Amino acid sequence: MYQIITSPVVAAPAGQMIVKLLHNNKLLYVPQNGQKSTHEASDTKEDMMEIFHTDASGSAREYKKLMNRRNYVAIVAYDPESAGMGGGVGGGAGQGGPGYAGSVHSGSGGEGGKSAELSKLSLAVDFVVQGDGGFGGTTKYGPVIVPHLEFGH
Amino acid sequence: MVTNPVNSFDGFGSYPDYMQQSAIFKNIGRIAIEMYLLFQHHTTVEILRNVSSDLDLFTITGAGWHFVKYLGPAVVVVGPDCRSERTQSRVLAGPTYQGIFPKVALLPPSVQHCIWMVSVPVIYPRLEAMETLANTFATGKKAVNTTYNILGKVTSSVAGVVGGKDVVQQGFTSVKKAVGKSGLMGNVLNQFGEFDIAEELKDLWTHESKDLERTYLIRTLQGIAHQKGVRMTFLSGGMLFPPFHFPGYCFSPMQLN
Repeated sequence: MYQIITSPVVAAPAGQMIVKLLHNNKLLYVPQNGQKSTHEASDTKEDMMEIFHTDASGSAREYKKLMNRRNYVAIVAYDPESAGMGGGVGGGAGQGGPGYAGSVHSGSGGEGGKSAELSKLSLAVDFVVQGDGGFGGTTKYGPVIVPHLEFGH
Repeated sequence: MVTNPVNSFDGFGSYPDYMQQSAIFKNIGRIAIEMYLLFQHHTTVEILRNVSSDLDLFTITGAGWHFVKYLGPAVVVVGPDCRSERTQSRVLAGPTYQGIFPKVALLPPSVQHCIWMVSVPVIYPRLEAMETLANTFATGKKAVNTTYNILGKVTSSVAGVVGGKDVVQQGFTSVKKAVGKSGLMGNVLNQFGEFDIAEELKDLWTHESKDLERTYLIRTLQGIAHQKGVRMTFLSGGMLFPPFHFPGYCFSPMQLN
């Protein structure tokens, strides 16, 4: 299960202090349903991924899990097995890019179980962040791939 | 697409009952929903009440407006209204879960991805340290100039631990400069006299008061994912604190079986 966090595009970014504060490596676990969180080891662990290695300015970042720059994400559904990924980046969160329609054309929706011809789609998530200066270029981080789930896993 | 505090004002729903239930708060809430429906969904309560299908927005308790929308046959976006049903002890009302979960579980088999647009992150680095600071700070609050806004409070309390008074003052000025708008809101909030940082943290899923609800949501979705082979993904905005906006990316590996 993945979670993607992006922020209101108009909001001013957080200070470095906040990022540092949130950048803890505490081990967190989700308890069984109906139980209070104690963060004892369970089958579900919470973790943040290190995806922001280099700053938009080019320098190395100390805190790689969070990025305090103005941003948006683009999510594209694509078929990892088909050669042409489409390369299209969707307009905004959850919008299908140009590659999307092509990759699902064969899917009829099927009534009983997943139809065999329906391609398995993964989501590609790109984080686009603002560079220095109000009108500077943007830097893209990603894509982070959210793979499709095999039935029964 | 989903309601968030900006539609009304910061922390709406997380104030104590006597304030939430007051005529002024209720009216602001009503107007916020009206505006949210109008500008983000191009509809009104009157129109929605006369629609019998759930293809459009739907309500279960009558308070929050939720949606389940298709982006093609394989991707579905679920948008529960995480603001309108909020109280100090819950995000969504119980019946809402019981209404939404079956809808998701009964999605056609073509659906492979289910993206949950949840305005406040469900998985989030814990702020226990911050919360302790907030509580500590609340007790010593009187000593501090009351014009400090919420943002200032956080910065100063954090800085106060890490560095000296200079840092406090410095951090303060720069942060205030950086967020003019929320600084203004901070003043408004202070006039309510109730909502300090400790309160604001209650807005989070990860706050103790929402702990069981959060586990229920995650565990139920894992169950549906497991049974239906649908990938569940949370997509959310930054945290409520005006200055805390950044993309973080949290991931919890699902290991069932």
